[in-house]
Amino acid sequence: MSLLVLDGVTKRFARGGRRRRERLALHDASLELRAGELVSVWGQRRSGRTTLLRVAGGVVAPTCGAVRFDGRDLRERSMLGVPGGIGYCQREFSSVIGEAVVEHVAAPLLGGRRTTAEAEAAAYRALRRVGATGCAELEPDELDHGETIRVAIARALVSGPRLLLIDEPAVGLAPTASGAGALYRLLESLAHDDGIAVLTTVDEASGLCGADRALTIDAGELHGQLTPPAPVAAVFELDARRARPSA
Amino acid sequence: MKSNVKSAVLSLVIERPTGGADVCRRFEDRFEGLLESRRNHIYDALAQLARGGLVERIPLEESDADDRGRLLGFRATAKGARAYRSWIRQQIPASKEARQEALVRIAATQAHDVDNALRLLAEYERAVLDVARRALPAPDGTVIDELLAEERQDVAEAELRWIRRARARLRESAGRAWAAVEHSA
Repeated sequence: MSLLVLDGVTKRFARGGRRRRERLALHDASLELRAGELVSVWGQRRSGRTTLLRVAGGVVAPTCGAVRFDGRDLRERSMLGVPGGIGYCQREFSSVIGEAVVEHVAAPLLGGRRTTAEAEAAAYRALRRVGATGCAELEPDELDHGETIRVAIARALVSGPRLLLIDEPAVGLAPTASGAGALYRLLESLAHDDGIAVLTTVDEASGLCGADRALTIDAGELHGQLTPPAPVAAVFELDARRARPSA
Repeated sequence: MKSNVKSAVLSLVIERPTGGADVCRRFEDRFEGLLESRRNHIYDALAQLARGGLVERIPLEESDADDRGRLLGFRATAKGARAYRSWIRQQIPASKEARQEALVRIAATQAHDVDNALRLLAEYERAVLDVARRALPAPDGTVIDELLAEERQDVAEAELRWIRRARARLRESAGRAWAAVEHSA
């Protein structure tokens, strides 16, 4: 079963001083994502790519159509930041939250039953998972582009989401194997090794590398393979004794 | 029809009944870089199409005579039109050749057949996306591996931008055609 389903989603925004005009950001968009799948969407500015992620995460509600996560309509219950829910990657770090990176990464866990020490321990684990342990004691302003996106991913991962949404992960990174390439391999690993469904948007074709499915978005319309491929049937070993011809 | 050259030649004859020299010239313009376009191949294709009953010979006006003054041209038969429609609408199987195959068929699409052009464009796009998502240099690759992956990514980027433009232009032309129909009704 698909973890995330966008079913005929349209999103319009009011625009202009008197809000009489409308901008069509998504037009009848349908998309399905399975657990453990990395799906990347290529689109240019104002193509609707950011709106796609915001609608998929339940950050904004669609004008028409439905978004279902694990079979449940996101209008009924938000799954953002909920354990087993949706992690939305944001690069902004408010100074109100704290000074050190580890405090920012731990912040989504505070306010519940966890102590600060437990939340920070979980934050260190998330930072280690994304290869940013060395950033834990730094302040967000001290991070470079590569570190910022890794810390942002760690913050989204700390609550244990099953779906991760990232807008333009490689912005500001060199298009090399050690720059953007290493980040794409991290996303691939999160999907394939940790079983997290990852949906990203990119503005360069290099961002599609390693994706299980690559799509495009233009004028709010999605193109490409919008549903996961049918799973390959499992192969069972034959019982050697039974496979032998009878005497 | 097995050969793409024959199908491509047939598409040009359907587009405009004409002489062999004109077909050769238009073939070179339209399928440059996509299909081999030696003149003897194109004349062979025309002869095979005629033998198969897919095109027939027609007299040409004097003004349409070729360089050698020949006044014999070709036009598609009903059988030829059916064979063309069947080829152009055929699903392109996913393979390494899918991108090239889709481009050949886009080039062979009649200008008024916007729906088919959009469908082929979507098939072309899928093939390009497939190349782009595989263009990942190995972590332990050499600088040559990196450069080759970047070349494939850059080509895919240019192709995706072209597809975006082509889709908008085709829709615009379909919109103009509809407006003309409504205006004349």
